[in-house]
Amino acid sequence: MAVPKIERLLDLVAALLHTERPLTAEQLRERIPGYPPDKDSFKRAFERDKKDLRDMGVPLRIDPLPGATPPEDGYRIDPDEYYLRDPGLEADELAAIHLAASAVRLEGLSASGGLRKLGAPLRGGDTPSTIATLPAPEHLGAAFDAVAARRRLSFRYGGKDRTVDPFRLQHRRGRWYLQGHDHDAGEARSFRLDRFEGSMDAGEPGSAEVQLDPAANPLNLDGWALGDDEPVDARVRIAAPQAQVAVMQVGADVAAEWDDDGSVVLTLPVRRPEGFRSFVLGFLDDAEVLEPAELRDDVVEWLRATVAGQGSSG
Amino acid sequence: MARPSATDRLGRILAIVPWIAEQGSPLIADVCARFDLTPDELLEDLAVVPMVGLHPYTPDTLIELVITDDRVSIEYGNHFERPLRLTEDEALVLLATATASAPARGHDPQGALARALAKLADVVGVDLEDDLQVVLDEPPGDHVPVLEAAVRGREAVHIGYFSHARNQHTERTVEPLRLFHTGGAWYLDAHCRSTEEERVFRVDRITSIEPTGERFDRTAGRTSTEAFVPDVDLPRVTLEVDPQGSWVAEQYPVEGREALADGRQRVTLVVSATPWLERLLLRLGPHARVIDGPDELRQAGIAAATRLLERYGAGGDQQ
Repeated sequence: MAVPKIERLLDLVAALLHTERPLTAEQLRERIPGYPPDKDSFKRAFERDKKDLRDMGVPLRIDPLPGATPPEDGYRIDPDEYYLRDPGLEADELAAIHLAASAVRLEGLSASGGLRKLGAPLRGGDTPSTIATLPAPEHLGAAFDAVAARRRLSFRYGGKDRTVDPFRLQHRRGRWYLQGHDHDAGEARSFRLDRFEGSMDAGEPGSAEVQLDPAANPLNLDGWALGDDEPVDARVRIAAPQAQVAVMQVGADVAAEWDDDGSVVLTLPVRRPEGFRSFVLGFLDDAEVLEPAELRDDVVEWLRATVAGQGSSG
Repeated sequence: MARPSATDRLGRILAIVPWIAEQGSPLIADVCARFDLTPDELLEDLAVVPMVGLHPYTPDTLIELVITDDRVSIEYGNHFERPLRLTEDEALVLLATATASAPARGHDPQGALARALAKLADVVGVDLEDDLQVVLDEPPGDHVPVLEAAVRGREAVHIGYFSHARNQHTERTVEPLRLFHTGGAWYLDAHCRSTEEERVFRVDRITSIEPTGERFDRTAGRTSTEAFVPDVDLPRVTLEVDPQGSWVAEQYPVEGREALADGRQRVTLVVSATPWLERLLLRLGPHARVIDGPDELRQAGIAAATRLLERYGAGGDQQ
């Protein structure tokens, strides 16, 4: 009777975990029940099994056989790499992790695989009253691993090939940002993970040599602040209907002067005029740029271009 | 249900076997509950286990599984002493969800979640102070915790709300049913007593919340976390945008998208209300034109820009 694949894979993992010397493919063919006797069929089956194990995260090593002439490679699994170190989680801690994973979800990534390895209960527990959904763009897991293991990354972004030593992965306002030292720019840059163009290559652990201080490189996502210009203080009046919403949007760090008519004047440090203009226009008739004149004129010019451009019949 | 693949089952068995060995002889029902399996699924997985061993597969090398009535135990099972380490995706999901929910639940630095996070971070080898930050941005003030308490306590609240779509400030009494976060913003599902309908409110546009002391008895009808549910009756417009206006297709749900020459594209959007379209067209400026849609919407951008130019005292001097 044919040996089921699941049994073959379990035997393979057990054999590789419990061997002192690396095992050659030939030795595995002889020892593991269920491989086809024919050499080519075996090779195909063994390649598939290796891929399956690697895809699951099994750390399969290829090491040279000690003392073999001619030199030959063999396979093994280092138990220290394979086994999950016991985090020593108490029952209430497991329940808290489970509840967090039901309250917050990463689109397309399931928490059950990790919970299962921790022995956290997959069924029952409290039902969360609040739910949050976070995106999970393609390179998220690998970017996290790169930050944790200090791996140097190469990827294409904004039409340029980059070499980046990452120092932080951050979720803000519904998007994931990777921050790192960009070797071509010579300074810290932030990259939106959903805007990576194509593949991402990660170096060995420790290959990211430049480690910037995250505290000294905060991520600022305000449209008017994401630029390279010297900051210019811009004053904008927001009328009563949207004054409070605007104050909540800009946060407590922005100076706000309230008037008796319920309007508010905000002073924003603008480094990027386009971002500032977009922020102001979002308030429609309730916002007016007071100063400086350049930024006021910039809005007026834009509005004129809008009338001209959207009115043309192209 | 689709049959699990061999690797799905392998992942399961590699976690279940060490857990059973560690527990001693747990109840089968407990194993099923812990790993979310039916008894049949569990027994099918366990049936494989006694066949697994080490070369030369003499009885003493095989895993010994004992099932008695309602309990299961593993007598000789150090083939798989501990579960397989976490993959990068698994580690990230656990740490990100725990980090994100810590502040939302009133972060207790001595609490179970904080202790669990510290232990997990240590095992994964990550510095939670610096390496990973997962922020569910909350509007300043305490709207999120106040509404969360109202949802839990089933208490109706009186809110001031700025409707972005209609550009109007309104007041109403609502029954808060569910709070959720998606796309970087918090939303409240609530039954609105004025319209007698379930509505979605964006929390950062709620300007005031007053408790009413009135309890209600109703549960959320919606389970989706889509913040915007397009209504079939709403009008659509088609825009032609140049490359500098292409962000519209990334930031808004577009129903149709067609690439044209020179990097221009044609996109079709649902218009929830005219002020919404005005905002979008002002931000797109000269990089977009409305090429199709109801008459009253086709001139929305030009009309809004003309109004604003007057406000800036620049209305009459166009060339």
